[in-house]
Amino acid sequence: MEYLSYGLHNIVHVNSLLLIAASVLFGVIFGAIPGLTATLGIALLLPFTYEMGPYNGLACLLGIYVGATSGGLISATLIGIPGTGASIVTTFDGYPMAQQGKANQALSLGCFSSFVGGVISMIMLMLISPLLARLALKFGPWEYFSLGIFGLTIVVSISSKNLIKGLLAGSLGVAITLPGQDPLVAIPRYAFGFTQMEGGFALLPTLLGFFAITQLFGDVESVAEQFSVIRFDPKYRIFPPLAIVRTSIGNFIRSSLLGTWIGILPGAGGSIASFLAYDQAKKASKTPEAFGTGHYEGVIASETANNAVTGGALIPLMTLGIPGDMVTAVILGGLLIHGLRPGPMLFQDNADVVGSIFVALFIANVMMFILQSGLMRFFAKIILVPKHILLPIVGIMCVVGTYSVNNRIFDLWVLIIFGFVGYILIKNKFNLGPIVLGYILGPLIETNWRLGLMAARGDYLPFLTRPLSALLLVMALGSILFPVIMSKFGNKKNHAQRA
Amino acid sequence: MLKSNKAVAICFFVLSIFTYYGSTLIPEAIYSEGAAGPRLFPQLWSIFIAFLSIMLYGQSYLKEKKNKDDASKKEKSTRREEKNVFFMLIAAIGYIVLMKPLGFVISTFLFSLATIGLLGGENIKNKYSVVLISAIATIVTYVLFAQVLDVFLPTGIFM
Repeated sequence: MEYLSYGLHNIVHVNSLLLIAASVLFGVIFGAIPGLTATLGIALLLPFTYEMGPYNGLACLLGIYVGATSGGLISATLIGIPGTGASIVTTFDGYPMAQQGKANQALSLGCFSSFVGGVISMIMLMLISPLLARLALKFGPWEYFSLGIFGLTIVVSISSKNLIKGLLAGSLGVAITLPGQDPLVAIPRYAFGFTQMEGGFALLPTLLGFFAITQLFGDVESVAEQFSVIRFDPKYRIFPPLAIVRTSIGNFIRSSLLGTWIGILPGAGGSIASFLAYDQAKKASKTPEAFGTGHYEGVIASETANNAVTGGALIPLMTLGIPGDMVTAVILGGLLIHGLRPGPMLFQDNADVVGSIFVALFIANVMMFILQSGLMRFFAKIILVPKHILLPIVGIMCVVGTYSVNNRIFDLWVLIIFGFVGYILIKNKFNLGPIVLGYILGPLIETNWRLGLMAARGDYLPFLTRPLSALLLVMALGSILFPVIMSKFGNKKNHAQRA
Repeated sequence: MLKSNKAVAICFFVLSIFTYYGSTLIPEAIYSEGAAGPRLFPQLWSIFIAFLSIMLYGQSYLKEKKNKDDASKKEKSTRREEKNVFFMLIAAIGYIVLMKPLGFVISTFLFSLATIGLLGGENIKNKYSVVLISAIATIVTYVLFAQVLDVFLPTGIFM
């Protein structure tokens, strides 16, 4: 309750509410346009939250997060192309519904489901995170080191089909953190006499480079794509039919809890959550055969689960400082920009910020429902903006955003070089998630490794003998070995079947 | 052209050597010698990257041996896709190089004119619309960032 009163005090002002509304709107637009993602939206707006202070700045980032996660349903339903990865499953039933003339029903149900999923996961965030933060207070450097390694390996194993490439990507992310100041003894390293390198690669050009510019290069390839949108019925209804909502309460709750749980797990994300929720909804349905042909239960399951991920993913981020996916890695960047270090101490030292995050997340969900439902026709038109106009503007925003932070041309070179490196890596089927996770977790891993060794006078054993640290390292090893064993097992099975 | 796991593996290997070499230049801190010193972590990390890059090279070598025939067909379609990317890269480099001497407004206008015009290609029916859209994009971003958000932007030699 203490957190909530802080949050209400900091966020419930006209300025903050307008900022959240604007960022939700911005987020929905980013989510709705295929190729533009929540991560890109947050990364783009990150530099401009500098001036806003921590409460408004974080509220803005959360607004975009919620808006963009939900906004993907618009293009998924109207053109059958998911605006974001998280809304892939929505195309299974949302698009067929739109083709059958039920675009309005699919969209209003999708918006409402997103709202329910977002609010339930926010409640779970409020209940679970203070408890987890209390537990995390007992962590020493050994546990934090092992947690960092676990966070990195699980993201590597889940997000990369090729384990070596995943590990290389994660290692590259950590290597990017090496130039600059040594985290413990403040000695410049890897500067090679170049003064601008003494500060290392700054957060914003690195994040914007790997997310925004890489994506820009990728989108440039498919610049000629144009979509034809399905038209709405003349009378647009904002609320979904009450009868459907009433009969789907079980689906809403199940998908929300599943989405929150998947959000908590590092590496999993909106798309996995909606796949699982869809599968469970199908199993629980009286008409499973209708799934995939335009069944409203499919839209509800997918959209509730992918928005429930938002609250879930904030749990490990806020309590342990471990981002679960790329979007939360960028949000972590937002916290760092404002001088806040996520982790258990955040709950002790910055209860005002924690409360503001809770309240802002709730308000963002309400705004998302109101704005997305009310302005659906406008968003449907936005999808049609030609990419050859959109992409250069996104590029200009990246450049201005990066330049505005330190007024250094050097940062712009970092932006473009990392963007192009990211593009080449994607072309070679690398996943960028581990790079960014490596970049975020690198200092945590290095600092705690060295602090642990200093505390134990050079003894490595506490990393293995302290129960929680050992457990996390075993889990890290398991997350790396599990996909290898499973693929070997799968190959054997295939051979046996062929024989 | 940009798709080659073997080339990527070599780049990572070079990075690992570079990282190791860089670590030897770090002065040892007096109060944190040995395992907790500033050199060991980067060194271990560079060895790990070297090991992984060798593994990737080996894996790609074995894979390429298996699928030799498919490679040349894929190459042609990839080159067409990459043309736009290279153009965007050159435009972005030009934008950064020209930003200080020409200032934000002129360099942004030129960047958007070049990229909108060339990326639009046959989709652009009216050539003047490209100039108009570029001018609007430049003015809106300038007013938004320099005037509303108070961001300092390079003014260039003309101001």
